Amino acid sequence: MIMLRKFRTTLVGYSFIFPAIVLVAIFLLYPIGFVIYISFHKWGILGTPEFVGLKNYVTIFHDPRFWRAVLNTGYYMVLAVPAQIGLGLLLAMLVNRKGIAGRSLFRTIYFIPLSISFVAAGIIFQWILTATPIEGFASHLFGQIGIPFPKWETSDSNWAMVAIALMNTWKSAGYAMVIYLAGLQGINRDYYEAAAIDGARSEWHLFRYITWPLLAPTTFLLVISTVIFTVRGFEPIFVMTQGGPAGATTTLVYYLYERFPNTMGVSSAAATFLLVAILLLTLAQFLASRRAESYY
Amino acid sequence: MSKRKLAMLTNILLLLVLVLAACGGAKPATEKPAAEEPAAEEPAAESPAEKAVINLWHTIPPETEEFLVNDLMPKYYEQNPSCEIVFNNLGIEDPALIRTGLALPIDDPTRPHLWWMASSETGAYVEADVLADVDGWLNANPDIKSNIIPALLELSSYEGKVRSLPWMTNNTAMWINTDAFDAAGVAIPSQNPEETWTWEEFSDAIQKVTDANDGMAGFLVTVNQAGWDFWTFHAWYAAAGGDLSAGIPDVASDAAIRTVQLQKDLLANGYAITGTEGWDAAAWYAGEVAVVANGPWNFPTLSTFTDFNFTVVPYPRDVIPATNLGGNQLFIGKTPTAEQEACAFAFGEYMLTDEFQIAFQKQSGNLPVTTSAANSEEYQAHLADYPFLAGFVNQTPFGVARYPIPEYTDISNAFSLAWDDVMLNDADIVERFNALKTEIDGILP
Repeated sequence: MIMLRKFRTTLVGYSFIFPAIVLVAIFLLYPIGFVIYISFHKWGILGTPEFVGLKNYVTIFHDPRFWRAVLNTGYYMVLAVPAQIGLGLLLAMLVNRKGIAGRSLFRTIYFIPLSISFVAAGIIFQWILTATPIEGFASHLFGQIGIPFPKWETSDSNWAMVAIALMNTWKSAGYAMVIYLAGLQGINRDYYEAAAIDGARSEWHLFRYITWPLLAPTTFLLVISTVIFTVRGFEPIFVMTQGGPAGATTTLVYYLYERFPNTMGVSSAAATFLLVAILLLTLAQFLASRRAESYY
Repeated sequence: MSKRKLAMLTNILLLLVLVLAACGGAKPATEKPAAEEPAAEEPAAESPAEKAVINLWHTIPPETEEFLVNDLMPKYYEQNPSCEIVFNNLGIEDPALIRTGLALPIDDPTRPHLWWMASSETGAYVEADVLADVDGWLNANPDIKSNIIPALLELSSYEGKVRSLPWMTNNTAMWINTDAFDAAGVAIPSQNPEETWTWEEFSDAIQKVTDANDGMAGFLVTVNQAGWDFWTFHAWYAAAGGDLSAGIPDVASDAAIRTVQLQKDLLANGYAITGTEGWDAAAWYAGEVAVVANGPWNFPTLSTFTDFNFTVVPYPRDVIPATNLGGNQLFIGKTPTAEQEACAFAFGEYMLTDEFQIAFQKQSGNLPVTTSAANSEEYQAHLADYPFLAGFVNQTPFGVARYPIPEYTDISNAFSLAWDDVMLNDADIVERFNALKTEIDGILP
């Protein structure tokens, strides 16, 4: 009787999560499984997939463009993630201060870019930053004060990723700000009082020894989420540079897009590589955060 | 019934609804524009159910689609009362969307039967065996076949057979700011491709125009656009006598190297500027550059543009005159019924009539695909009204097409990197294009 009751209870529990499991299976697990399956096949949507073993992986591992895309992805991540998180933290610290008139307004203003689509933001930034053949607002302004603005869309290819990261930071810093605000408001004020008694006087000391360590879980969450968002980012690159100039902004996601749909097997192999890389990156961050926990 | 049981039952019911909604009753993704009223003019006795329904997937610009549906389709329905064409505008020309549609079972009501797409997809369709026998139909209708401009018939062919029907064509030609040319004392080249400027005259003109016009570059070298850059390269390469018998340009050949060198020299010597998105003529409209390669699809803007005087002339000739053919094809897919196939081919036939071609191309700004339409009194009058259009039209017979193989996009991407490396990173042309040749050989089957 007890067993039956327990079974019923379990069944009810599973019945609650079953719809969610079905949706996750249909829209997440199946596509991931299918991508992995296709990565071992030659396929172009039409016709039957032809099994080719590891050929697609061999193709990408021997393709210099693939490795360049991996490096570009890393470069983009290094530029974009700290910028987003750093600016988000700065904004959160500012709007969290009491006594600032219009705090709510500032919070709203800083958050607004997040509600704008990447496509619209990308087009606007391209208009502002474009340097050739027609000068945009920023390049014209720099020109007026005698500072040459880099031709990031063509000859100054090193700046292309910077331009994308700039747009991405403007667009996404609001997200980091909101998460950090929640983190800041969760810090018990007693810690600051205790620190003051212990001799921490400057704002920097309070931030360095109280705020920052206690924001570690928030930072960890943000690092994981922004790394994933950044690495899988497609729209900013598609809109602003189409992977160029000369492949300077071709990230892994753009690399696999360029191979779609004619060589879906190669595309899927690159996607599987990306999936595994993100999983490993997240795992590494988890491990690092465990160590960090002992810090406070 | 206990609350638990009720909750469980509700969950199961919700799940069932979800599964049923996902599996059944999928409505056709096609949409019939509200403007498609002509059906109402058809005999009342024939209900839509009795008609052979044909799905046409396309990315025709909305204004042109409206014109097509409202002004051209009534005639088709008049001639083919038992047919109904359902237009489905995909919004963006993405080969994957069409392929996904074609992956549906042949009797699926949402599957495309006709579709508008660039010829570069032909190889993939032939490999998948999804196309109707257009070659056989054209051979059975020699009058129709012989009326199609030969270069476009070639563009529509793959492995020796015609696989699709050209719907509209275009090419790029040289847009010239004639005020800038006049200021430099440079003669305007002829609109006759066989008598127009040579490569030497082109280089000379670009240099003089740059020198004579402050703040204006002579020519726009486009970069960072794989599809566009490789497509325009075809025109220069063919003009240089480049061999296209293998389909893909031999990028390590003398013709290819000279083609790249010509533009690199202009750039390196300050007579040209770089720009992305070659199809965007903003720099030319703004007077930043005197000559750009662009297409006739800008007709609505060009026909009303008055900021400076201009004309359009053919690509400079070298060994031969040449241009790059583009445009979209009408692909006719296999259909589940003979009635649908008849309706599909009837649309193809109507699309190739002078009436359709002249009206559609005048509205869209593209060029006719048949000789009779191009030479018709009405279209010639249109050319007389807009003389710059002759720069495009006269080139069409000298056009070369992109090779319609599935690997084309990958080759185009590889080309773009080499092109950008030379134009932007000062890579050695011979070395870089020899490496590109090796890369392309690896991509080709």
